[in-house]
Amino acid sequence: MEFVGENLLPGIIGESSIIVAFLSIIATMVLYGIGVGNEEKSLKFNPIAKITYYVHSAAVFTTIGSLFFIINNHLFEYNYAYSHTSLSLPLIYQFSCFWEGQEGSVLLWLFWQTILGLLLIHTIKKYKNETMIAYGSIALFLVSMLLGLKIGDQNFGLSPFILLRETMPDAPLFTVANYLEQLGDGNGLNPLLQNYWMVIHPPTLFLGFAFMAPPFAYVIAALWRRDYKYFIEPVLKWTLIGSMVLGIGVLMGGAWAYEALSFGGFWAWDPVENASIFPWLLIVAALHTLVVYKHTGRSLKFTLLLYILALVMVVYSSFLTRSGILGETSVHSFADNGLMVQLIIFLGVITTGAFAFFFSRFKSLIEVKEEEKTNSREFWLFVGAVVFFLSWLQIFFSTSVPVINEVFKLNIAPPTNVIDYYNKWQLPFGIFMALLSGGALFFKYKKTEWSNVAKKLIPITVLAGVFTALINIEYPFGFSNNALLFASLFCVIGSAWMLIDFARKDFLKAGAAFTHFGFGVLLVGVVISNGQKETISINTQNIAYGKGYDLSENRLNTLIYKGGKNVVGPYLVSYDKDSFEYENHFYELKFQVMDLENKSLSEPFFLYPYVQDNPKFGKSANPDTKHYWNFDVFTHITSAYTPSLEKGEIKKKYIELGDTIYVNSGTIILRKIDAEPKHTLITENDIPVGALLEVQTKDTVLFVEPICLIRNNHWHTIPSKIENIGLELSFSHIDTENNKFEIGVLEENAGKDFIILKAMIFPFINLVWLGSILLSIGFMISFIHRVRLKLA
Amino acid sequence: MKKSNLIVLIIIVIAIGMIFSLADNVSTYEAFNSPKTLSGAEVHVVGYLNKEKPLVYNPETDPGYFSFIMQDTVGDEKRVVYMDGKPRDFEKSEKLVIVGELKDTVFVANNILMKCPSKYVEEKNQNL
Repeated sequence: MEFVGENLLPGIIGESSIIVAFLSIIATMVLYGIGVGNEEKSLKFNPIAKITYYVHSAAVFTTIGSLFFIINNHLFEYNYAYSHTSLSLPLIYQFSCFWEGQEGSVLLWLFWQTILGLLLIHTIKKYKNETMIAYGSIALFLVSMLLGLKIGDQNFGLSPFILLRETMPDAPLFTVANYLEQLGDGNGLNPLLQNYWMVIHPPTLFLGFAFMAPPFAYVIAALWRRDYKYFIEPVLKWTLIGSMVLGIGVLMGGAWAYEALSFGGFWAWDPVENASIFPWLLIVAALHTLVVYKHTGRSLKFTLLLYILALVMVVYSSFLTRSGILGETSVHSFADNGLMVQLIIFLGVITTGAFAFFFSRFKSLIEVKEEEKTNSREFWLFVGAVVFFLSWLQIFFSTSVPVINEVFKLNIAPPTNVIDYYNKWQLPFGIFMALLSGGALFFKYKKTEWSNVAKKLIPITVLAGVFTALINIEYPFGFSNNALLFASLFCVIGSAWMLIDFARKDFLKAGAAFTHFGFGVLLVGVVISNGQKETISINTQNIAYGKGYDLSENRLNTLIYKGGKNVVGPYLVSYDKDSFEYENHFYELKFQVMDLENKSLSEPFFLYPYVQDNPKFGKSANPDTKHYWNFDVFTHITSAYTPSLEKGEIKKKYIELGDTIYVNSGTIILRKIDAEPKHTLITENDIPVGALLEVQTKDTVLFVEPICLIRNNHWHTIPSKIENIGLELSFSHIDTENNKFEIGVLEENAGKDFIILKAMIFPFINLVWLGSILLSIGFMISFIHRVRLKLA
Repeated sequence: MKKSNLIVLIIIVIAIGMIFSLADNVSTYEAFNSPKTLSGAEVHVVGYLNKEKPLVYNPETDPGYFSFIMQDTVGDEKRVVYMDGKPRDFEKSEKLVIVGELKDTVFVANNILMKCPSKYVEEKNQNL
């Protein structure tokens, strides 16, 4: 059938470009492969290989352009455009739509991979062949995920250019030639993703992942050729930028979670969050062991291993997120779409290939004979890298529970209290990381006199102890949090000392100290904002729910009537107004600090948390937060009720004997079914049944008996009215099969509207953001220093 | 022994500790009447909301207390109590996973994970 109005050209261009990209990257790898170890052949074929890489790059950019064209022009005949975009989306959100789906996010990653590849191909000095083969293998797998081929039963890749009608060929809509006119608008972007975070977080994160590939490629080439000196400088630069970008990407995710999710925090140890941090922990460890190797020739094996693992973890994370294996354990993961086998192949080939190189060269990796001294920088840097490695290992094992389940056919569930479980392990690691970050810089390579080091570390220890004690006055902590706080302060003070030292001489050499300073600040922020966070929306009613359990600690929500107020921590919160903007229901909350001594209220500030009721995606609550320099007030609406709108409607329900119905005025319990009720309206041929209802209000308990009867084969009802509480109860039907009785309730006083609110205070959470920024600047300083060194 | 060997040994010991800790802390998916649940341990229970039985949520009396009847995968039912209010769109849930403990005849949940129908798939299919 000829369909009207379809623009098939962009799809054809797109799919052809993918094939070109696929074939050209294979060609590149083969052409570079010919020249491996052969100077003559390299001279001949390398230039051609470079050109095929340019062709590959052009093909990748063309694919991206085609998909963007489709999105921008709202070509809903394409499944991707229909599923992820809509007519009304502004341009900037069209970018978000681009990477909202599986295929688009692979393209985003491939985009960065290609750009970094072009940079790599122009900056490699030695062993270009081997490096580009290793680098190309990753691009190869990425492109293969977009192929959209079907071999037998197995899918190879998902094409972003599938037409909507190809995904559901049997749908009645497609029996019409001009279905496009009837299609209307696309599904649109999930409203939770319609914010600036979705525009910046994925690109940064995928760029970070892409940065893990060049060091990996260098390492493979080095192992291949058994030449372990030349890669140090280039890899160091790649690592610094990569750590910075990936770190920023991960922290952006945290900031987004804090701002937009109602869980209240910036890290939930969600499997996909964890997966994104695997490569970061390893690459930062690798950075430190590389520096040790550069200065002392030690830790070569560990360095090579860490770089390999970092990239393997990027692939593993993709596997976790995209294969569907995480199931419902994460808010991020995509559903299973048949990519599982392909991802396993990707993971398997990269891992076995890399480790094959590593283990086959293991013996040739030289080790320095004498042991390093404990009072040397290289020893402590090594210990630090080990701590990062262990931190990664613990998160890796725990996050891989779904994989363990799949492989060993088990059915274990995640830990019941996920946050406590991870914090229990990561806290001691954090302590070591902080202490080492603060202290290691005071050690010189090879050997330092202990007395020299002690001269500096002891005052720092004392200062850190003093500040910890001071902070405890306002914010008392338990033992383990205090240990982490102490360690973080040690890191802050130690790095600051180093920074001041450097600032006098050459600031650009201070990159490490600056980064560690930022790290320390970040950790202090984490300890205080997390350890001292307080839910202030405590419901203080004391209702007993029966013996056996005490639930008083868990009342973390509070109710505020519209037009009313309530005490929420130190604030008096009033709710008077609400408003709508498209599907967003904003609740205006007025906060005033209560000064109990002077019996006055402060100047108010307003927060507008909102609930979005999207017809397609359901309800979501969006917090609103008040930021002060030293704390945040975080609020969100747990739920909202508008009984005033339901006035005058009968609510009917089927219940059993003994069941309870809750109404605004009280509770109603079905006590008895009366087979012989008496009422003046009952006639001889009726079959009446009465429902004896016990009505409990605040002040009284009374009984009414509405009647249900069958007259001439029709159901009728004789309701009972209770005037003084404005309640009318009726009995309208009997479900004889299930022994259920339909009771109807009509309330005249339907009640006032109200909201259920949750509010939390996060002290000093700004330190987390400040620390993140400082951390990133530190990496940048180190990077600039390295580049400047080379140019000088 | 060489320092680096010592460190490798320490790594191995800690790694083993991690595995034991994980094994110790992971929960299991249980039914309401399985021995582990009946012993009062913290478990995960998978099941469905019994939509025919009344949901108890009376926010004006207590905004936190929320109670419902859930049926597990083998068909047993239990009253579940959750103190953090009624989750949004709870009635629309297709599947529930609750985490908590059995206390007397009531299961007190600390956490509720809901699987809601994928609106986007439904909507897409309805329109076409």
